[in-house]
Amino acid sequence: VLSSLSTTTSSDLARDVIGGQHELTIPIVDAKGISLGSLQPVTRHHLRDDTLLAQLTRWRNTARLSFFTQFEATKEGTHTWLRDHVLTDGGRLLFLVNAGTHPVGTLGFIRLTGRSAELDNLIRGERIGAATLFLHAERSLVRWLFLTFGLQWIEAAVLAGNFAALQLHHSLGFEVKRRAELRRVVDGDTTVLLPASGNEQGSGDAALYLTLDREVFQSTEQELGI
Amino acid sequence: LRDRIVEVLLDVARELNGNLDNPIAVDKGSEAPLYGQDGSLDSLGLVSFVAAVEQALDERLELRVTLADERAVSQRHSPFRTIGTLADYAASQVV
Repeated sequence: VLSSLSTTTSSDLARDVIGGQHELTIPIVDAKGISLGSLQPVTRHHLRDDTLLAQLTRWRNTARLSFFTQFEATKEGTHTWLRDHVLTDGGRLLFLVNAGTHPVGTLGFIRLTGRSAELDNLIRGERIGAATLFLHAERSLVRWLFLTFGLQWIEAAVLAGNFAALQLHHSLGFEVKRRAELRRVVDGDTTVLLPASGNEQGSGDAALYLTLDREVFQSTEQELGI
Repeated sequence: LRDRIVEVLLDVARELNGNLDNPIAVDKGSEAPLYGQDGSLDSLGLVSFVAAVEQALDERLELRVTLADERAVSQRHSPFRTIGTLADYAASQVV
């Protein structure tokens, strides 16, 4: 199924989506075809949405210990992050995960190339919607990435202690390819977890780098009967 | 041992069910789905469930196992699909 569809070889699509020239909504459906919600891209239009900015800020703070860069987010900082990073990068999209029509978290991708992309910003901000919502949200995004861009593999990086994310990725067929000990670099209110080089003392944290090959995902979908 | 672990897992599921919108189908015994396609737990719920299971196995069977770690995701198939697969995995971690 995955090999039968046409591909888009550039990141123009991401730029058009961000700019609002191309409307995109990715449906989230379970294996039986029942609708659970949708993935709705964050666009420049959302920069004026104070409610959403506050919601994103709250979610980022709730989940901050799950990320490699840890800091106290503010609404202004979230606005700047969206404006200067998320919405200026043709190689990434950030999606709101909607349960029905209610935003409950985020999921996105970065580093989109002709062959691969990396999942990013997985946050379940609200415990609303089906238990399998994020499983199928991630499955739907991964499927869309493979189909739309003809990717060969998709990557993800998670802290080894983030069992929830690790298990979610694993359920879709992601496999751990590499493990790296981390060191903590504290700069003011921000802590960054960076790979420790050979002679550096690790902090006890570790990063796991996972990969999902196109063929593996295809067989996972077949096992699910999709 | 596996049967005793299944009983502990089912007891933990019964306790947790009061807080779940979509309860774990404990009447299905070992076949009760936990996480994944037909599961009752989301990924955060799974973390809570597994933590409660680790504590219960320690208190009731004196089994000190770590279920929520990297080894679990090195398995070809997730050990968290059903009560039975998790019991198998827990039993395999007992030294």
